[in-house]
Amino acid sequence: MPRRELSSPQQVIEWIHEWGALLKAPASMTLIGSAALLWHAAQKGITTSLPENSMDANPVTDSDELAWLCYDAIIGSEFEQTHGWHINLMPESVLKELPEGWLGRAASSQDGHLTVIVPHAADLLAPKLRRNEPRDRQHAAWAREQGLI
Amino acid sequence: MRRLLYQDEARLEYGRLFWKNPACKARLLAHWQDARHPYHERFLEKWMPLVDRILSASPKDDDALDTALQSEGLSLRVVVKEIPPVFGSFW
Repeated sequence: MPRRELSSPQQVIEWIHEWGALLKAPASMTLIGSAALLWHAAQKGITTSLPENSMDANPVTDSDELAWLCYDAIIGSEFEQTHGWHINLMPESVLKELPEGWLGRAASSQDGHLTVIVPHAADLLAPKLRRNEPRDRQHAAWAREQGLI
Repeated sequence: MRRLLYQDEARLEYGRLFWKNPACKARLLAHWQDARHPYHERFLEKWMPLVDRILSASPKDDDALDTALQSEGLSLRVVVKEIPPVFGSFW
Protein backbone atom coordinates (compact mmCIF):
# COMPACT_ATOMS: atom_id res chain seq x y z
CA MET A 1 0.00 0.00 0.00
CA PRO A 2 1.39 3.44 -0.86
CA ARG A 3 2.02 5.71 2.08
CA ARG A 4 -0.12 8.80 2.44
CA GLU A 5 1.85 11.32 4.46
CA LEU A 6 1.99 14.45 2.27
CA SER A 7 0.12 17.12 4.15
CA SER A 8 2.20 20.19 4.94
CA PRO A 9 3.44 23.07 2.78
CA GLN A 10 6.92 22.61 4.21
CA GLN A 11 7.20 19.09 2.81
CA VAL A 12 6.75 20.40 -0.73
CA ILE A 13 9.26 23.21 -0.28
CA GLU A 14 11.84 20.84 1.19
CA TRP A 15 11.40 18.42 -1.72
CA ILE A 16 11.81 21.18 -4.29
CA HIS A 17 14.88 22.49 -2.51
CA GLU A 18 16.38 18.99 -2.35
CA TRP A 19 15.92 18.40 -6.06
CA GLY A 20 16.98 21.90 -7.07
CA ALA A 21 20.35 21.05 -5.55
CA LEU A 22 20.49 17.55 -7.09
CA LEU A 23 19.88 18.57 -10.70
CA LYS A 24 23.01 18.95 -12.83
CA ALA A 25 21.30 21.10 -15.46
CA PRO A 26 18.36 23.53 -15.51
CA ALA A 27 14.99 21.84 -15.59
CA SER A 28 11.43 22.90 -15.10
CA MET A 29 8.30 21.19 -13.93
CA THR A 30 4.67 22.19 -13.80
CA LEU A 31 3.21 21.08 -10.51
CA ILE A 32 -0.48 20.25 -10.19
CA GLY A 33 -2.74 18.62 -7.63
CA SER A 34 -2.55 18.80 -3.86
CA ALA A 35 1.21 19.40 -3.81
CA ALA A 36 0.64 22.50 -5.92
CA LEU A 37 -1.95 23.80 -3.45
CA LEU A 38 0.59 23.23 -0.67
CA TRP A 39 3.19 25.14 -2.71
CA HIS A 40 0.84 28.15 -2.85
CA ALA A 41 0.30 27.90 0.89
CA ALA A 42 4.04 27.87 1.46
CA GLN A 43 4.45 31.05 -0.63
CA LYS A 44 2.05 32.78 1.76
CA GLY A 45 3.88 31.48 4.83
CA ILE A 46 0.97 29.22 5.70
CA THR A 47 1.88 26.15 7.74
CA THR A 48 -1.59 24.61 8.07
CA SER A 49 -1.77 21.05 6.79
CA LEU A 50 -4.28 19.66 4.33
CA PRO A 51 -7.43 18.22 5.95
CA GLU A 52 -6.71 14.88 4.29
CA ASN A 53 -3.22 13.68 3.43
CA SER A 54 -2.08 12.98 -0.10
CA MET A 55 0.05 10.06 -1.23
CA ASP A 56 1.79 11.78 -4.11
CA ALA A 57 2.98 14.91 -5.87
CA ASN A 58 2.12 15.29 -9.54
CA PRO A 59 4.65 17.03 -11.75
CA VAL A 60 4.81 17.36 -15.53
CA THR A 61 8.21 17.88 -17.12
CA ASP A 62 10.08 17.64 -20.42
CA SER A 63 13.46 17.25 -18.73
CA ASP A 64 14.84 13.72 -18.89
CA GLU A 65 17.05 14.35 -15.87
CA LEU A 66 14.10 15.54 -13.78
CA ALA A 67 11.85 12.76 -15.07
CA TRP A 68 14.51 10.25 -14.07
CA LEU A 69 14.52 11.66 -10.52
CA CYS A 70 10.74 11.21 -10.55
CA TYR A 71 11.09 7.57 -11.57
CA ASP A 72 13.49 7.10 -8.65
CA ALA A 73 10.76 8.47 -6.36
CA ILE A 74 7.96 6.15 -7.48
CA ILE A 75 5.77 3.95 -5.22
CA GLY A 76 7.96 1.55 -3.25
CA SER A 77 11.10 3.64 -3.67
CA GLU A 78 13.57 4.78 -1.08
CA PHE A 79 12.16 8.29 -1.62
CA GLU A 80 8.75 7.06 -0.51
CA GLN A 81 10.25 5.30 2.48
CA THR A 82 12.05 8.48 3.52
CA HIS A 83 9.34 11.04 2.76
CA GLY A 84 6.11 9.07 3.30
CA TRP A 85 4.78 9.94 -0.18
CA HIS A 86 5.88 9.44 -3.76
CA ILE A 87 6.10 11.18 -7.11
CA ASN A 88 3.53 10.37 -9.79
CA LEU A 89 4.73 11.82 -13.09
CA MET A 90 1.87 12.99 -15.26
CA PRO A 91 1.74 13.37 -19.05
CA GLU A 92 1.66 16.81 -20.57
CA SER A 93 -1.90 16.27 -21.79
CA VAL A 94 -3.15 16.50 -18.20
CA LEU A 95 -2.54 20.24 -18.40
CA LYS A 96 -5.39 20.45 -20.92
CA GLU A 97 -7.73 19.78 -18.00
CA LEU A 98 -6.85 23.21 -16.62
CA PRO A 99 -8.91 26.27 -17.59
CA GLU A 100 -7.85 28.08 -20.71
CA GLY A 101 -5.18 30.70 -20.09
CA TRP A 102 -3.88 28.96 -16.97
CA LEU A 103 -0.25 29.58 -17.88
CA GLY A 104 -0.79 33.33 -17.87
CA ARG A 105 -2.10 33.11 -14.31
CA ALA A 106 0.55 30.70 -13.04
CA ALA A 107 3.21 31.51 -10.47
CA SER A 108 6.73 30.19 -10.44
CA SER A 109 9.79 29.75 -8.27
CA GLN A 110 13.43 28.95 -8.85
CA ASP A 111 15.43 26.73 -6.53
CA GLY A 112 18.91 25.81 -7.71
CA HIS A 113 18.49 24.33 -11.18
CA LEU A 114 14.78 23.69 -10.70
CA THR A 115 12.08 26.02 -12.00
CA VAL A 116 8.64 25.18 -10.65
CA ILE A 117 5.58 26.46 -12.49
CA VAL A 118 2.38 26.30 -10.49
CA PRO A 119 -1.06 27.12 -11.88
CA HIS A 120 -3.18 29.52 -9.87
CA ALA A 121 -5.05 27.77 -7.05
CA ALA A 122 -8.42 28.41 -8.72
CA ASP A 123 -7.13 26.75 -11.90
CA LEU A 124 -5.76 23.80 -9.91
CA LEU A 125 -9.13 23.28 -8.27
CA ALA A 126 -11.14 23.30 -11.51
CA PRO A 127 -10.45 19.64 -12.44
CA LYS A 128 -10.77 18.61 -8.79
CA LEU A 129 -14.20 20.17 -8.51
CA ARG A 130 -15.25 18.52 -11.76
CA ARG A 131 -14.28 15.20 -10.18
CA ASN A 132 -16.15 16.36 -7.05
CA GLU A 133 -15.07 13.56 -4.72
CA PRO A 134 -15.21 14.28 -0.96
CA ARG A 135 -11.45 14.75 -0.81
CA ASP A 136 -11.58 17.24 -3.67
CA ARG A 137 -14.26 19.28 -1.91
CA GLN A 138 -12.22 19.20 1.30
CA HIS A 139 -9.16 20.51 -0.52
CA ALA A 140 -11.22 23.26 -2.15
CA ALA A 141 -12.60 24.28 1.25
CA TRP A 142 -9.08 24.26 2.69
CA ALA A 143 -7.84 26.47 -0.15
CA ARG A 144 -10.64 28.95 0.53
CA GLU A 145 -9.96 28.93 4.28
CA GLN A 146 -6.26 29.60 3.67
CA GLY A 147 -7.06 32.49 1.33
CA LEU A 148 -5.58 30.81 -1.75
CA ILE A 149 -8.76 31.59 -3.72
CA MET B 1 -5.88 7.02 -31.59
CA ARG B 2 -8.47 6.75 -28.84
CA ARG B 3 -7.61 8.52 -25.61
CA LEU B 4 -5.30 6.64 -23.24
CA LEU B 5 -5.51 6.68 -19.47
CA TYR B 6 -3.11 9.22 -17.98
CA GLN B 7 -0.97 6.51 -16.42
CA ASP B 8 -0.63 4.75 -19.77
CA GLU B 9 0.08 8.01 -21.53
CA ALA B 10 2.76 8.87 -18.97
CA ARG B 11 4.55 5.53 -19.51
CA LEU B 12 4.58 6.24 -23.26
CA GLU B 13 5.64 9.89 -23.00
CA TYR B 14 8.41 9.41 -20.46
CA GLY B 15 9.42 6.06 -21.88
CA ARG B 16 10.10 7.84 -25.17
CA LEU B 17 12.09 10.51 -23.35
CA PHE B 18 14.28 7.90 -21.66
CA TRP B 19 14.59 5.73 -24.78
CA LYS B 20 16.82 8.38 -26.37
CA ASN B 21 19.40 7.87 -23.63
CA PRO B 22 21.20 4.50 -23.92
CA ALA B 23 21.89 4.25 -20.18
CA CYS B 24 18.27 5.01 -19.26
CA LYS B 25 16.99 2.59 -21.89
CA ALA B 26 19.31 -0.14 -20.60
CA ARG B 27 18.16 0.35 -17.02
CA LEU B 28 14.49 0.21 -17.99
CA LEU B 29 15.00 -2.95 -20.05
CA ALA B 30 16.92 -4.58 -17.21
CA HIS B 31 14.13 -3.70 -14.76
CA TRP B 32 11.40 -5.04 -17.02
CA GLN B 33 13.31 -8.30 -17.56
CA ASP B 34 14.12 -8.74 -13.89
CA ALA B 35 12.71 -12.00 -12.53
CA ARG B 36 11.15 -9.99 -9.69
CA HIS B 37 9.07 -8.01 -12.18
CA PRO B 38 5.57 -9.57 -12.33
CA TYR B 39 5.33 -8.96 -16.07
CA HIS B 40 8.83 -10.03 -17.09
CA GLU B 41 7.72 -13.27 -18.72
CA ARG B 42 5.09 -11.75 -21.00
CA PHE B 43 7.45 -8.89 -21.81
CA LEU B 44 10.21 -11.27 -22.88
CA GLU B 45 7.89 -13.71 -24.63
CA LYS B 46 6.02 -11.24 -26.77
CA TRP B 47 6.03 -7.55 -26.05
CA MET B 48 9.64 -6.38 -25.91
CA PRO B 49 10.10 -5.74 -29.66
CA LEU B 50 6.75 -4.01 -29.90
CA VAL B 51 7.39 -1.80 -26.86
CA ASP B 52 10.79 -0.94 -28.30
CA ARG B 53 9.12 -0.03 -31.59
CA ILE B 54 6.63 2.40 -30.06
CA LEU B 55 9.13 3.95 -27.67
CA SER B 56 11.55 4.50 -30.57
CA ALA B 57 8.85 6.27 -32.58
CA SER B 58 8.14 10.00 -32.63
CA PRO B 59 4.80 11.26 -31.30
CA LYS B 60 4.13 12.96 -34.63
CA ASP B 61 4.04 9.53 -36.27
CA ASP B 62 1.53 8.05 -33.83
CA ASP B 63 -1.38 7.98 -36.28
CA ALA B 64 0.66 6.11 -38.87
CA LEU B 65 2.09 3.83 -36.18
CA ASP B 66 -1.40 3.05 -34.92
CA THR B 67 -2.57 2.26 -38.46
CA ALA B 68 0.42 -0.03 -39.01
CA LEU B 69 -0.18 -1.83 -35.72
CA GLN B 70 -3.84 -2.26 -36.51
CA SER B 71 -2.90 -3.98 -39.78
CA GLU B 72 -1.00 -6.44 -37.55
CA GLY B 73 -4.02 -7.08 -35.37
CA LEU B 74 -2.83 -4.72 -32.63
CA SER B 75 -3.07 -0.98 -31.92
CA LEU B 76 -0.96 1.70 -30.32
CA ARG B 77 -3.30 1.63 -27.33
CA VAL B 78 -2.81 -2.13 -26.89
CA VAL B 79 0.98 -1.91 -27.05
CA VAL B 80 1.13 1.11 -24.75
CA LYS B 81 -0.69 -0.91 -22.10
CA GLU B 82 2.12 -3.48 -22.36
CA ILE B 83 4.82 -0.96 -21.42
CA PRO B 84 5.64 -2.42 -18.02
CA PRO B 85 5.38 -0.26 -14.91
CA VAL B 86 8.37 0.48 -12.73
CA PHE B 87 8.42 -0.97 -9.22
CA GLY B 88 10.26 1.26 -6.78
CA SER B 89 11.23 -1.58 -4.47
CA PHE B 90 13.78 -2.97 -6.96
CA TRP B 91 14.20 -0.11 -9.45
